[in-house]
Amino acid sequence: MKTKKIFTAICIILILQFALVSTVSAHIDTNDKWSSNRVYFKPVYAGSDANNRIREAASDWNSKVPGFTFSESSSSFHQLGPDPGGMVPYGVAAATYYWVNPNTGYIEECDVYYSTSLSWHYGTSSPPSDKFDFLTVTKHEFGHWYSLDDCYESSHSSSLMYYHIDVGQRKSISSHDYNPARIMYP
Amino acid sequence: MKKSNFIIVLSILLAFIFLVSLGANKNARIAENEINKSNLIGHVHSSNIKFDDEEIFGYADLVAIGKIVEVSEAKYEIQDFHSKQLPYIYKDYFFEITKDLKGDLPQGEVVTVRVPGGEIGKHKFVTDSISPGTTYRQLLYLKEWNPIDDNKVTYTILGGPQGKYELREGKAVGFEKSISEEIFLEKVKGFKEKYGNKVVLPPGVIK
Repeated sequence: MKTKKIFTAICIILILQFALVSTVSAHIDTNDKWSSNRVYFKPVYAGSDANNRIREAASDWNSKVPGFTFSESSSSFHQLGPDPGGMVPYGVAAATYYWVNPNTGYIEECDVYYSTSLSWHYGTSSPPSDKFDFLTVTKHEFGHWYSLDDCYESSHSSSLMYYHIDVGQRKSISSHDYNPARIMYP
Repeated sequence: MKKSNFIIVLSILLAFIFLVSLGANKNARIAENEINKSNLIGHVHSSNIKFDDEEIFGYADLVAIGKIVEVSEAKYEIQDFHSKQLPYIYKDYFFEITKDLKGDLPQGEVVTVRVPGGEIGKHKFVTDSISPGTTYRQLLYLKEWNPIDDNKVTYTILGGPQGKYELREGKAVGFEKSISEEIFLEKVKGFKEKYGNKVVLPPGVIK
């Protein structure tokens, strides 16, 4: 009788582990990752407000995923800045481009380009209803640096990694967003 | 050892093996430390703007029903990604218009929808861009845009999955909703009557 209970408990644990990993995997784009648990980025906006929000977004992710660190470096070639042209289509707020060496699975290059077709809110306060929140979009893009995929489940439409953002909307990093990143970088 | 203890030890061991195996594949790849920068795999992720039905109609340059009559082979252009010059791979989808709802293009006109992504030899470019379907008639919300700047008039599907509806079995099937084709088209025609071919910028969009 006791053996049966133990066996049942173990089965439940294993099923829960499998369910956890399956859920997490659904939000990881690939197994691509960085070769180090620290990656350097360089904000390249002319205005300090935009660059400060980029730093704030990086810092927020750092607090949510202790096993991985975003650090700023003026010599980094992983840059975040406005679209020089042709990188961000109409209807898109920002795009992250990253490049992986298929032999190692390591990301070697990562850049974020922001639309120049939008009216951005670069402040720390909540965005007004006629501007897109630069901080929220930057946090979303940094999520892709962990190779997190966009989320397309409408039940998670309020999560940071959902595939679209509304004007005047501010989102924060939730467990739905950071748990897969923690698995990638324990 | 008691039978129950043996089962516990065995289960812990199995759980450990299970967890370790999750990372084994990655470690094996990491061990292959051969750098070949010429065949980097590109990935693109886009944050789309949320549109409602009226906004996406107003912002589109062209709204039309049609079908894909041809898809090009993957093509590429070398682009400057800050520190590296890398191939930007894309495909052209040729969309034949059967009914124009905004833009005043004649029936039978074929327009090019340029979609990033594809594979050429050892080069691969993986994107989350939406491609037009090739099976069903579809309604597309299109915006003139050309990432390659080759002096051709090409279009992009607006708003990712929000800009594409398949018309099948009397329904307009979009990513987030599926409604009667008749009702859907009546609604779109209402926007046409309201805005004509005029481009209306949604809130927060400046160009």
